[in-house]
Amino acid sequence: MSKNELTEQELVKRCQKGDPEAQEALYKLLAPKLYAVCLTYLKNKEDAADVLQDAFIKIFTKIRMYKRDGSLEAWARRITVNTIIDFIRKRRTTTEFIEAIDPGDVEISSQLPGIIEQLEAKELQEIIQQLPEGARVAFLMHAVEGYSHEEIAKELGISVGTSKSQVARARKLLQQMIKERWNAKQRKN
Amino acid sequence: MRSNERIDRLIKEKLEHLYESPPDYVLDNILQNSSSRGSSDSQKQMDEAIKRKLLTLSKEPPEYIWLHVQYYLELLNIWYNLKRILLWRRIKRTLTVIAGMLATFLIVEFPLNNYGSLLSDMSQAHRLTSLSRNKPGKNINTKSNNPSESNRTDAGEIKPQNLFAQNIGLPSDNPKHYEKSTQTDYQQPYIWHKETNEEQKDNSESNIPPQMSQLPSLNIPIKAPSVDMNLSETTYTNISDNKREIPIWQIDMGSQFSILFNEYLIQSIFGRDMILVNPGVLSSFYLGRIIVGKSGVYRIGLVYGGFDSKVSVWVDGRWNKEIMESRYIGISGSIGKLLAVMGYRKWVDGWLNASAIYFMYHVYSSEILRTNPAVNRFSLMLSGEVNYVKGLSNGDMFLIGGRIHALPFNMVKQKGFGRFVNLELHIGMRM
Repeated sequence: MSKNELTEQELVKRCQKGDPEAQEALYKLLAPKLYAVCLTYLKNKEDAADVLQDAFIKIFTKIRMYKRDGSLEAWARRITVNTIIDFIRKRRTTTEFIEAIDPGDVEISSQLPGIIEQLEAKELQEIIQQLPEGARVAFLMHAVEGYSHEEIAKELGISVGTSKSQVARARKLLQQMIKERWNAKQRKN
Repeated sequence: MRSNERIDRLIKEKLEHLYESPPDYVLDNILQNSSSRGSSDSQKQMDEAIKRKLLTLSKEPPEYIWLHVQYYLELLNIWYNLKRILLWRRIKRTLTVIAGMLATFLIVEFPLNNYGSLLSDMSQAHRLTSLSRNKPGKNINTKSNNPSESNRTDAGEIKPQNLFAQNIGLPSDNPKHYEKSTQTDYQQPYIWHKETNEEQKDNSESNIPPQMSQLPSLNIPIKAPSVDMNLSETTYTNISDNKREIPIWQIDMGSQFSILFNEYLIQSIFGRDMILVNPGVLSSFYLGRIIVGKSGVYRIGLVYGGFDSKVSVWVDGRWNKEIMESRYIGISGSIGKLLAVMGYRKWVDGWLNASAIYFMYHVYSSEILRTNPAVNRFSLMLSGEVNYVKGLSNGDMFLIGGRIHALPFNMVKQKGFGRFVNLELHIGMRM
């Protein structure tokens, strides 16, 4: 067991007892990463801040339920993503989920993963933020958080077909945007 | 030349056959397989690459978020603490009720003398202290001032304990009254024997109600209840003129613990045959009227009741239970309280009269009260208001307030139920 794990365990223990210092330390440890998650999903900084705040309140009130059998960060991330989904569900009227026919698999250039690796994370985040919200959320849930289409459909209150089409649409747009960004970068260099 | 042309044509034919396109499905299958495998793999690779990149992302959130989170956590802490306090209060209350019930059970199930001599000693000491403050003989009326010789010391003074017993209308240490005359007061249960008519006559001579000044004073703050309803000075004067001066005690029973305390107090001061009326409802006040009005003075012991128990009667040194299920009293009293709070004063009177009659029917039709001689011998313990004293013709009267404080105090004041507030006096004493 590493020193960091021990520290994390101690931190969790103290948070479970309601120690304010430990709560602050946990916040400082997790907030930047979780804020980035919120920003990727929500694009709008104010929305992201609101959701992050709600997520941390949930984290601190539910920390007694954390069983320490997985990574604390992954647990906190899951809570944050759930909070984001709740937020999106509540303002569903403004969220765009186009009902589309499943376009099937999108042809992805074999060069694309390599190009992505060469992009900076922030650049990639900017590209993802440019996606329409419906496609962005469905894609992130599927590709990053590992939700199945059935789970996405259930969480977002959409059909499985819509989830698939949103993810496919996101991939298509992403490929296009990443290539454009890459080409522009190449031309600059 | 002709042969060359022919060879060329044959070769061409052969070659054309060689390059003939395969059936369409062959190409479709090949293309589909390669496309889907390649596409799926590349999609996975793309997703993985994006995931890896995104997981490294990190951005400092605005500072105010932590302040907000802290603020909410503080609020949550306050709420949790409040919940804990409320829960603790509930637990304490439950424990108190359980303790009260347990103590009541002990009182009901076991003879009083089983509770040890401490209280008896205390009350004995208290009694003697109280008596020493009184001036023996000063205000004793003629009849009660004429005790038997055995009640006097050699110097001709009345023995303190006999004076006390005389004051409260008990037959003191007259061995006739007890089967066990040698027992020390309050340490053994008294067992009454049935008196003959002659004995009753004799006793009635020495059983004249005492004057107020002769009563032992309690060593606790005493306030006179300022009850004015129907209790005019004339009534008092008449009573006084007729030498039927009635000491009235008002004791608020309060909680279960104070019930126990008062019970001991009364038992200790007045002797064995007190009846504590504590149904804990307004109907008890009307019960007093019914007792007085219909039957004159009953020297009943204690009628004990409550919303959670059955009405029991303390006669002959023990509790006789289950005269009446107290839920009748509780329900009637609760309705009475509700009506009182709502301001339907007349309805309260009517309702409580009806419930009191119903209650009394049960109490008086009970075997224990009908057949027990003690019922007709003892000082009346009456839970009621002073205005109902006027029907009293003889004997001592003790007013024991019920748990009237269930009625909101402010409401009592607003609705003009000031008289109820008197019942909150812990111990009151007046003529």
